[in-house]
Parts: sequence; C-alpha cells; structure tokens
Amino acid sequence: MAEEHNQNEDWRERTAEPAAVRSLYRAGLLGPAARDRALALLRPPRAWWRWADRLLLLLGAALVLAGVVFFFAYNWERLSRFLKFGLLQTGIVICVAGAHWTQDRELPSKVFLLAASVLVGPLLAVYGQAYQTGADAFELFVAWAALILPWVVAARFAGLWVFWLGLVNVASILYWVQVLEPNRVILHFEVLFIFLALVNAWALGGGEAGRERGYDWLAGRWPRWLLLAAVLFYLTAPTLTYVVEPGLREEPGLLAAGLWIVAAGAAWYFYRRRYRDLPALSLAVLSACTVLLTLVGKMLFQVADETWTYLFFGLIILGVMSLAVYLLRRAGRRMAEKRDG
Amino acid sequence: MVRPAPTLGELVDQPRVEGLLDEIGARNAAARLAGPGRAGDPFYIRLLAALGAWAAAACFTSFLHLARLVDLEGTEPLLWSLLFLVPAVVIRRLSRRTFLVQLTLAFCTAGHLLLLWWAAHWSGDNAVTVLRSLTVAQAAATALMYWPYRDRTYRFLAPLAALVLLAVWLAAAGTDLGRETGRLHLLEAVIVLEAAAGGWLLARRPSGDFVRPVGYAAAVAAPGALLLLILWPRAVPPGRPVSLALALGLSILYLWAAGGSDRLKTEGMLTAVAATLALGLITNPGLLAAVGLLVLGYAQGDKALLGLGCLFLPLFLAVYYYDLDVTLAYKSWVLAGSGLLLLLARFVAGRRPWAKEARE
Repeated sequence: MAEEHNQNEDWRERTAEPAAVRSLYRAGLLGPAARDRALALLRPPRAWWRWADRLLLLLGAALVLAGVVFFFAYNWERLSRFLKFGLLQTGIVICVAGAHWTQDRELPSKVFLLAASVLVGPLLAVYGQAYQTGADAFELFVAWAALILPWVVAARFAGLWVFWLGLVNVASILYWVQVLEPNRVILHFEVLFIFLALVNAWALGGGEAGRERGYDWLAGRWPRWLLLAAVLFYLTAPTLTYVVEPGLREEPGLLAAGLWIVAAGAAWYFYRRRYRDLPALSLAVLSACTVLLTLVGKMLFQVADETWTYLFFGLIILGVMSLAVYLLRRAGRRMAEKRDG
Repeated sequence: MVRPAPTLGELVDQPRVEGLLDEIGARNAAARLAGPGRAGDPFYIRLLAALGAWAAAACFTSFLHLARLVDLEGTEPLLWSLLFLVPAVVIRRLSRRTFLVQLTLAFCTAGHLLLLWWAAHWSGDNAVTVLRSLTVAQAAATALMYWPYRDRTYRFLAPLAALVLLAVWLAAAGTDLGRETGRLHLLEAVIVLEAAAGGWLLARRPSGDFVRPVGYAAAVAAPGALLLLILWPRAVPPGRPVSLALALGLSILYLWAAGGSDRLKTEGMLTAVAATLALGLITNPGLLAAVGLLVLGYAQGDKALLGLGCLFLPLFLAVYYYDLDVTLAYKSWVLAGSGLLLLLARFVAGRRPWAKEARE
C-alpha cells in the first residue's frame, strides 16, 4: 500500500512535458479538453516567444553568415588583398564586440563568438593564399583551432566546443593524409582512428566531469551523443576490419578491438548506472550488435553451406536485435524507476 | 528570468485541469509513465529494430534466390510476397513478443521487396514506367496492410516508401527521362499536399497509433521531396507558389499552436504571420517546411519532429542555395536579406511589451 502510494505520488514530481500529456491522452486517462488545457498551460505565449526568439536569432545569424560567405565567393577575384583582410577582420571585430556588449544575454553573446570563430578560418585561408605560404591544409586547421581556443574556453558554449573538436578531427585526418601516410611514417588507418577516438573520448570525459560539477552550459545531452557516436565509430570501424581480415592488420587492429571492448563496456556502465541515458546506451548497443553480427556472420559463412547460411544468419540477426531491444527496454524501465524512486 | 517547468502534479492541480484526472486515473498514469516499455519505444529503439528486420529480410530473400525457391523472372515473387505478408499480419496480431514482432517486420519487408521486384520486372525496361509500377505496387500493398498490420514502425515506413517512390517517379517523368513537364508541377502540388496532410494529421485530435505514423511519413516526405526536386538533374527547383502555399500553411499552424484563429487579433501573432508570408516571397520552401516541423515539434514536445526540423534546416540552407542556378551575388543578397529580415523581426518584436513580459 505504501509502495502504491509512493508510486502514485512519484509521477506528480516529474517535469510536465507535452509528450507525457499526450501519452496520458493516448491511454485514455485525459480527455480532449483536459489535454488541450494541459498543453496550453505548458506552452503559454511567453514560452512560444522565448522559443521563437531563439529560432529567429540562430536562423537569422546563419542566413546572414551564409550570405557573407557567398558574397565573398562571388567577389573573390575582384577584391584586393587588403580589402579581403579588412572585411574579414572587421567582421571578426564586430562579432567579438557584439559578444562583449551582449554579455548579459547568454545566447546572443555565444552566437557572436561562434560567428567570430567561424570567420577566423576564411581569414587564415586568405592569408595563406595572399602570401603563398605553401602551407598544407592541415596547418590551416591546426592554426584555426589554436587561435580560437581562448574564445572556446571563455564562451562556455557546448556548440563552440563541438565546432572546435570538429576542427581538431579534420586537422588530424588531414595530417595523416598529407604527411604521415605519404611519407610512410604511419600506414595503418587504425592508428589514426585510435588517436581520434582517444581525443573525442577525452572531450567526452571532460564534458561528463563538467556536468557532474554542475556547469549549466554542459547540461544539454546532444554533445554527449555526438562525441560518444564519434568514439564508437572510430573504434568500431577498425574492429570490424580486424574481425573480417585479422591477418591484414594484426597489431593495430588488435589494439583497436581491445579499446573498443573497453569503450563499449565503459559506455554501458556509465550510461546505464551512473548517467542513465538511454539514447547513449542505444549507441553502445548498436556498436556491439554490429561487431557481434559481423563476427558471427564471418564464422558462419566460413564453415557452412552458403545458401542455408543466409536463412540462419537472418534468424540470428533477428535474435541478436531482439535481445538488444529487450535489454534496452528493460534498462529504460529500470532507469525510469530509479529516477522516480 | 525563465521560470522552471511545472511538474505533472502542479499541472493536474491547475484549476482548469483539476478534477479531470481522478485517483484511479492517477494510479494508471503512474504505471503509464513508468518507462518506455509501457509508453511506447522511443524512435531510436524502433530504428534499431527496423535495421535488424531489414537486414534479416535481405538474408531471407537471398536465401530464396540462392535456393532457387523463387524464379525471379515470373510471377513467383508475387506469390512469395503474399506468403510473407499474410503470416506477418497473423503473427503480429497474435503475439507481442519482441522476437516475433521483429520476425513479422522482416517478413513484411521481404514481402514488399518481392512485390516491388515483381512489379519492376513486369513493367518492362522504360525507367519511368518501372517507377510508376513500383509506386502503384507499394501504395497498393500499404493500403491493404495498413489496417491489419498493427505496427507503428511499418505504418511509418510503408507510406513513406510509397511517397518517396511517387516523388522519384514524378521527378523522372518530368525531366529528360520522361519529358512530361506537367509532372513536375504535379510533384510540387503533391509536396504541398503532403505538408498539409502531415500538419493536419499530427495536429488533429485524436491522433493515435493509427493516424500519427502516416502523419510522420507525410511530414518527412514533404521536405524529402523538396530536396529531391532541388538535387534532381535538370529539374527546376520549386518556385514561389510552393513557398507561398507553405508560408500560408505555416501561418495556419501558428494559429493552431496559439489556440485558434481569434489569436490573429494579437500583435505577436500578426507579426509572426506577416513575417512568414514575407519570407514566403523570398526564401526557399524547404526552409519553411523545416520551420513547420520545428513549430509542430515544439508545440507537442515531440523530439522526433524537432530532430527532423533541426536536420532539414541546415540541409536546405546548404543544398538549396548551393544548387541554385543564379549568380553568387544574387544568392548572397537573398540569403543575407532573409537573415536580416528575421533579425529585424526579432529586434522589433523584442521591443514590444508582450515580448518584454515574456522575458521576465
């Protein structure tokens, strides 16, 4: 009786969201009138204005920035070197000034800093072109990431951190493509992927630590999903290569596979027990299913007759994915119970 | 200052909602909200299940072909498709076990694949004729299976596949492959209808498991078809009539979200509608379709729609303007002009009393 009373009260403590109201309506627990009233209370005019304000700012800024990029592209040949530099530098100064003037309003300030960070890249490209520095493309991205790092740290904006990490990823890939691989310093793509996985894992760990310390700007979950997807991708790809052709890339492939096991296990532990994030858990499960089915498929097609193997493999795929769905549902239910309990 | 979101308890205690949820309802609500297993799987779990079903379906059809159980040249694929589809319906109605549900989804996929193979083979070599046959076959199978096969994933994917095939057929027929230019105008009309249907089906009440999946399919198909029309070689990107139609639809969506047409009397709503119609004159329709997804998603707290809107928005920004067959100068003015219009609208609206009140 006490447990039933607690369960009855627990749902009342949950944050009201339109999805929950719709769920109750679909179950026949709220009538149409109650549903409409509840939804109107959850989305009053002020909530709509706040949302529209954010959308107008982000979309307007993106369109203006895109227009500037196209303007430069059209007039590129006709602009003198100094005009190119002047326009870009003025744009950066305006954005930084805008960020400073709008410090009291969080989102505009961060959007200005993001715009300024984006403009640094074209400025470096113009510099390289104007002075024929002969720099490789990776050097542009390295310089870009290094120059904007103080803004990235100061902005406390998850979107800008993700942009910066994107630059680091691109710089690393270009360095391997342009320097390491052609000079035969490192030939195995697995090494590059392991490095990228470690970089993104470091960022992911930093983000989780920041979230635990209560930094509001790290509260959003999408950077976690993006970084986790990157880490798992960078480790799953070489693992699959190792599974399919173990003799081809023995040591780096084995290392990647070992790191993948650690990463997948860590993801299950942290996002099941500690952070209780079902989408993140689903990413780990998808990665595990991919590797497992590749391994099973390879073994099956090596030992059995090909025709019937397709039928068995199809049933095995269904079995593995059903198990995955079952585990995720069970994990979701238990995480929800712990959250409400 | 942003007020914290209310709890469900605070919400149902509101005078206008109080009394509409009794104690029995409250206990059932607790059970209903206990987790994804009871309230319905989130879309990423359903996506995982669908991926497995597709892979399994590919294996089953490969087995049939390699075992020479089906002659792909004759009518056997049609018979085999029935042999897959009918058991899928029966098993799905009898069982809700995860493995069997996935098995039926795999059977459905295999059945559709074999049906489409038969339709393509039967219709000859002409690409446009093949596409027409595929569209008709997929639409017919979906119509027959929609009611009996009670699966939300199927009810989303099957109509979506039919609408995608329809768009591809009309695009192919309207360009060099078919030279029937009227088909492109028909496709534009289809896009507007899809957007309208998607908005209506998702916004209407009741909108349960029978109607909502096809609403999602229409809501995804409309921007998808716009993207197709932009990327299709030698096709003319959709023009101002489509943009204005979508802008009008978006304005109607605002009024629905605000609670009715009498809201048009308020200054905020008038501003939003005027700005949207102005945007319809200068911007691309894909942007408006993406904003429609965002508005619908925010109104209903639907993360899938919000995610789709966030995905299509930058995609349309990048693809449309990159592909537009005008000078870069024109593109830059249109883009920057659209952006400045939005920022100006934000600035002007932000100075109004109702916007200042919203910030407090």
